[in-house]
Amino acid sequence: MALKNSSEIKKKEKKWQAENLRKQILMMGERKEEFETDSGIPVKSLYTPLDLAESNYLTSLGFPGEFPFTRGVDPNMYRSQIYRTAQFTGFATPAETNQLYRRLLAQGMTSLYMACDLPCQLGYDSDDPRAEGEVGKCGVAINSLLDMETILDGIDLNKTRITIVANANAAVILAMLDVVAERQGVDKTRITGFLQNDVLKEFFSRNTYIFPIDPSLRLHSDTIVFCKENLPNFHPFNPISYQIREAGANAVQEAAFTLADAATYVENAAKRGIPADDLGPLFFTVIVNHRDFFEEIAKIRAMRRIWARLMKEKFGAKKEEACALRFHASQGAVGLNLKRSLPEANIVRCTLAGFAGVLSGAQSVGTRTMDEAYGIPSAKASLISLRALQIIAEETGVTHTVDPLAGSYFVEWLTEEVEKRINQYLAKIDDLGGMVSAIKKGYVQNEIAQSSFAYEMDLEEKRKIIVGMNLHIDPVEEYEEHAYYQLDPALQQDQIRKLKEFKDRRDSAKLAASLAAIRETAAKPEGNENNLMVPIKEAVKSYATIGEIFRTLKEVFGEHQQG
Amino acid sequence: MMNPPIRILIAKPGLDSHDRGAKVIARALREAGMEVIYTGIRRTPEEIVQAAIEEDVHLIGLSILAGAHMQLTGRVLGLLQKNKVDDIKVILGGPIPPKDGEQLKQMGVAEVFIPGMRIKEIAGRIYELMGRS
Repeated sequence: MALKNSSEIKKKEKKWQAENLRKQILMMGERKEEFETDSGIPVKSLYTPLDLAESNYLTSLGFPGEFPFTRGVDPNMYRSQIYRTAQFTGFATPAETNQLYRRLLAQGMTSLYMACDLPCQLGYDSDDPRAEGEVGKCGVAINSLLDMETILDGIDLNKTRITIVANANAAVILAMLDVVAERQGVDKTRITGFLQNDVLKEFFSRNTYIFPIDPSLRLHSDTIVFCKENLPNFHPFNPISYQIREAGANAVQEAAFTLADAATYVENAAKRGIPADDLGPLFFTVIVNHRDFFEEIAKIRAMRRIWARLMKEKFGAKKEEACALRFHASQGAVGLNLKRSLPEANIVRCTLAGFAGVLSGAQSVGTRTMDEAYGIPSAKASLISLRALQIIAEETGVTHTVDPLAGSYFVEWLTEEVEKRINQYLAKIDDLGGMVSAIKKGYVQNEIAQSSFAYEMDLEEKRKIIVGMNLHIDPVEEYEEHAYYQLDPALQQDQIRKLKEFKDRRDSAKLAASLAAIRETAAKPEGNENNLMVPIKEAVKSYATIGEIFRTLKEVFGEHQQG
Repeated sequence: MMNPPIRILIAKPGLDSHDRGAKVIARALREAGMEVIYTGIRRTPEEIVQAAIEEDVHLIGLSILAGAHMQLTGRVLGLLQKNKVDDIKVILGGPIPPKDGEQLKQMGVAEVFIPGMRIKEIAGRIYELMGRS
């Protein structure tokens, strides 16, 4: 933007620095030697039009709902439709989870966000020895189609958007969802929501992998092709930054690695006949909002701009809508430093992060709860978090106009700075031969480990502050005062007992044949004619369990070993 | 005479794959002068106890973030007992509810570290447990 009066502003700024600013600093000093964002970007006292002298409104910002989508993916944003609210839930048995979902929907929640327990995520049945103590702990236990039918009983899949955090196990969970939809008799073209199914990040941050990286990516592409043919408005995967950040990446790394994962999926889908123009509109990401308010907002605005340009310039998307990065604003429990002492203070942290998500232009927002430093949220804590999002939507007025922070000298400058740093990482990853190669070489893991350790040292040395932890320290309160959730071990036993009874009731010949078909297809090369979703869906229909299906696939693919 | 450095096995039992804490602690304790062996994720209690014996460590530091701490820690303690090992202390880190923490200490866990504790506190407490404060 060519500034008309830039020399005058420059002159006056110099004068202000030399006189007024200097005077206050001489008298009072500054609270810190250096001010910087959480990712380490130095921050000045003041930003003026001079900091944006090089930027061009039309090419960098433009209009919401138009390329490069910096100002948001919809022209009218929250004036037309408020962000959806979703909380990550699911626990214990399918029946318990079904009751929870019905309650949340009655409270005004607009989409379900399903958590599976760890055995399910890793392809083990509830009765596997490795699942001992883990059944129903981090999410709902799902063993077979029967469990999915129970979870979704009475929930209309045409009215409720559904998101499932399934990654390495995504293909089987997707097949289950598809069969439930068929049996409910709903219109499959009207099923919306997404699978997490972001398998790449498992290899450098979340670690919930099963197979080695290459067959994992084959299964990933199989699910994309399957969705296109069967559930055309369901997002087959969503690149997610949450676990990357929680593993210790800073904001810039989080954004760069998420976009690099996403770019890999676009390239792979193209090889399977799905061009960027077809895949783009189905793109839905989950991006985290952490504690550095403006850096988080700048990060998301920068990500939208970078993604739009990548889709257009690198992947050849011609449709504008294919270049829009839609996202769910999530929050990190570690990043927000949710604490046990005075847990009510966490409500404030969650609300601020949710607020940043709204100001970033999120399509849906989820909040953490005050008691997540203890375990699975209590019903009351969940409700408070939901109410926080509803208060932001209905009471604060920030939803009255689109991208209200645009034009802030600081926010726009920071957006450009974060963008520059993300692009540096993307260039480095390209130099390493792409994201898969960067992961195989250990580069990504190492970058995250360095940041993660540096962050801890900053807390240790009080260069970074967590109120109540290393400043204004609160004593840890008595735990029992908080009505936190505890899993009844009888429910775990119940799930295991039901599974054993159920296994004996199945048609064993049909089951064996369906598993053999999976093995046979897995042994063939990747391709649309060998889509594993086809035999997996048949196995799901014959009530094969997750454990049985993954054991079969492991025989062909082997298992990933951490380097 | 100088004591030999404290040897500790940082271990992640069960299916929980969240290894940020384990990795940070491993590096921090190394920098605090201890010899640290890290098992990697998804180890069985059997593998952990066997590694602890083979590596001749003073302590096993379990990192469990996904709620299965009672079963997994119990199995590690049971296996140590079964192998007649009485000179390896077990410590635990993770979002462990206080009630569980109390019960684990009664079962024989030497210390439970929860989120929000600083690395210096943790290293200091380990030195104290080893009688080297």
